[in-house]
Amino acid sequence: MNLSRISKRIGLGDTEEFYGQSSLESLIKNSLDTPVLFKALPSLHGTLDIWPSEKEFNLNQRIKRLVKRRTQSDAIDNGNLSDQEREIARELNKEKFSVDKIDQYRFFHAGQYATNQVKLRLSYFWLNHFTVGEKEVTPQLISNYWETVMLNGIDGTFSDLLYNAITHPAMLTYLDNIYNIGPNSPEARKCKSRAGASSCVVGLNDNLGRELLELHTVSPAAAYSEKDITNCAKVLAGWGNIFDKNSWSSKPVDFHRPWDNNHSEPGRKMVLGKEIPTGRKGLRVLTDFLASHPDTKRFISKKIITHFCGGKYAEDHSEELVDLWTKTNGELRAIHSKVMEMSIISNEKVFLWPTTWCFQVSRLTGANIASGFNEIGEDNMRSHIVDPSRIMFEMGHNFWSERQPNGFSDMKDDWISTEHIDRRIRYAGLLYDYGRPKKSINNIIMQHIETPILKNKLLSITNERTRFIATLCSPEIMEV
Amino acid sequence: MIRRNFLKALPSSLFLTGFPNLGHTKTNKDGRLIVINLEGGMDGLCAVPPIGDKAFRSARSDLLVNNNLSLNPFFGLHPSFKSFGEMLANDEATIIHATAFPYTKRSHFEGQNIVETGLLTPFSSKSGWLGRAMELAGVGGRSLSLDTPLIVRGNMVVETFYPSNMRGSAVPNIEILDALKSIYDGDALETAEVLKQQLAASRNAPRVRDPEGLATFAGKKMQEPYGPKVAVINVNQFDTHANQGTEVGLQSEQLEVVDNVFSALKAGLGKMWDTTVVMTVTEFGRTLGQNGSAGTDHGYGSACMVAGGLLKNAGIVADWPGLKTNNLYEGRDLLATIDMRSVCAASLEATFGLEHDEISEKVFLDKRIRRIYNEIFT
Repeated sequence: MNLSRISKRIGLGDTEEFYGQSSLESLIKNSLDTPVLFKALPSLHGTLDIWPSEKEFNLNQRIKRLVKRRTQSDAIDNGNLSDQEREIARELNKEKFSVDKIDQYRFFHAGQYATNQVKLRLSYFWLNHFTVGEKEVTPQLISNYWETVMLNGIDGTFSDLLYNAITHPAMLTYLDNIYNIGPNSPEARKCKSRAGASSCVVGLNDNLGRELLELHTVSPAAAYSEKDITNCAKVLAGWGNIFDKNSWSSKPVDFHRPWDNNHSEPGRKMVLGKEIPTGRKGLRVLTDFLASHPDTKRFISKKIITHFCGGKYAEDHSEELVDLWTKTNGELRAIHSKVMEMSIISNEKVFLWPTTWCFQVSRLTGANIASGFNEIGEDNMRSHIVDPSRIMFEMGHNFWSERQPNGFSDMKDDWISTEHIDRRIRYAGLLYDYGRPKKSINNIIMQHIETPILKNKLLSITNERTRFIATLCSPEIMEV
Repeated sequence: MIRRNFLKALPSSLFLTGFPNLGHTKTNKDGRLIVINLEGGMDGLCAVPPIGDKAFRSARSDLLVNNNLSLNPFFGLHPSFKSFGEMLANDEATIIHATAFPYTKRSHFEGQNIVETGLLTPFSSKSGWLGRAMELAGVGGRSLSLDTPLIVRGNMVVETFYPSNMRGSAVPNIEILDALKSIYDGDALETAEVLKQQLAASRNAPRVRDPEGLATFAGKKMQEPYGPKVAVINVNQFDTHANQGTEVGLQSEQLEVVDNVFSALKAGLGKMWDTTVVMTVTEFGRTLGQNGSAGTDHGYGSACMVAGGLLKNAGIVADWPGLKTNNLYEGRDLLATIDMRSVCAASLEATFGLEHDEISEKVFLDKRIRRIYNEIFT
């Protein structure tokens, strides 16, 4: 088994953990058995180090910062400042309590330098499947969502992953469930008795309920009705009340799976023929039911195989994964191992996502242009140091950006555009000009380009810079 | 406010296409068509509120706009539409209300696909209605297919425009693009070729990325004698489930962006405005009633804004279905009584000079589409 071929195939070319492994099986096992160690460069061209603990934030710390940010921003708004002063104070306040930029550094460096890249690579797929983009305060939470739900859940069951994703405050905020209140909930009844039914604005918001069915689980193939969607929203009402008119509340609430009985809709609900009990436990019954629904298995099997093995291969082989899913009750370790195996068997080319490509070419060349954890926010044309969050944004593939809940595309057609190719050429150029490549481009061509014709064409390019860029942007490196 | 786009993943983006194929053009008319795609499901009842319908006010008491522009006793216009309102006053704009593509299942992704393909079944085609119409009209015949929004996919040259802001990076040079061309095939090869053409042609392109800036750029490019005849501009954030706002707030800001896009296009197009139609499309409208979070959920019928020098008379084209519960689609959404495909067909007729029956049969693959050209354009 050619592990170098495998590693490149899933976008992990020249990853250290592939060295010395005897088989794919042991590689996957080792990878899933060990936690990710976050490593990073402290500065551009510096020495690799462990990510500093003072730049890690758990959910409680994040919430505390948001609450403080909110309190101080209220104080700024009420203070006696000129418009200009207020504008500046607001910006400074936002910057002071925000951690999203730090998180993006951690993410980008991890993609190049962390141990356990297989786990990371799998986590990107799930982070995209359960997309959370920028909305209100979500940028402050996305990293926590990725690490606690996706990375920690990579070795569990799909059922757990689903429940943990749906109940994370990032998801509850991104798809508006924080505003979803049962029309017969205690809160609604109180409001109606106080203000009268006609002027009382509380009720369902079906955004998360709809996407839970359409995107996260059964897909439209299940032919659910509008009633099913409404009932999903009713089951979800009560989840995510962490909110206090337009921002995060300082009320003491448990932000881990935030639940508020006052907002929940009493009574049993029917979703796709399944009776869901009332109260907090209802959601777990619903997500467990959806997680094991045949349409969910079919939809996600096809999606994950498409992502790692190609669309045509997925058409022909999804059923094998569905069978395994049924046999193992959605054990992700078994599913992931199978998908990795399939990705080797499939000869179909898979177009790498931009960041996956960035990570792979950085490893293949040993070049880097991203600023390090002691240089957060540094982005300087003169010293040629680039902020990783900008790189990911410019590549059109930043998990912290605003986007639709169906996430980034797995279709090559959506990425082969003048805009995207232009940016890959520029990025490869930056790596050559200022990234200090550690490996010679000819060695990279000899080692990683398989087709003789392409190999010869690349080697025959006389200008070294052009040869470097053409190799990194060649079909065999972009589409593996 | 922070905006998203960069093709699929980005805030707003612009696509220019329909480059004249010298000597081979079959078009009867030298028109220009610009589609503004409002992503997320635009609330037509907020953009063009039926203030004369009694059921309207009570259904969304927290979303009512106080200073609507008055169109007639029945319809108002959201105050964000200052430029569009002037266009209406000058008889160069019109509104089609209670309209939608024939899709009622309220999914963004299926709905957006139908807006682009113009067909009845989601994900059933690899080409878009505008792309097929351009082929039929012989607008831009060079056989290069690219990336690009599905709506214009067919077989023509498309330029996407969203300038890079990769600090300190060098513009791809001819040598690199030639090297890439020698190792690419298929779509990637065509992409490298277009990049090369862009390099030669658009050195002086402005570095703007907001919808208004892109619209100005589009207008200027389309004013050129051999410039593109078709543009698509995406504006997002119309999925107003929560805190939609009134005369201020999220929806108001986004409508103002749309209004600015209209005025920037007009300014950029100069005298070519006279040969242009600009129209909005969206995947669906939103519920009549507000939800529990001062927003609206996915619905059905919406409104379509059309402007351009090819319009003769301002007006509101609607077969108003009413907003009483039993008039609503499934008791909750504005019913669509005008098929958006009819509006698209009329615009294609006005700009490319195609016959309605031909558009109906060959662009939308459905012979039953009603012709409403006269209602909009005469």
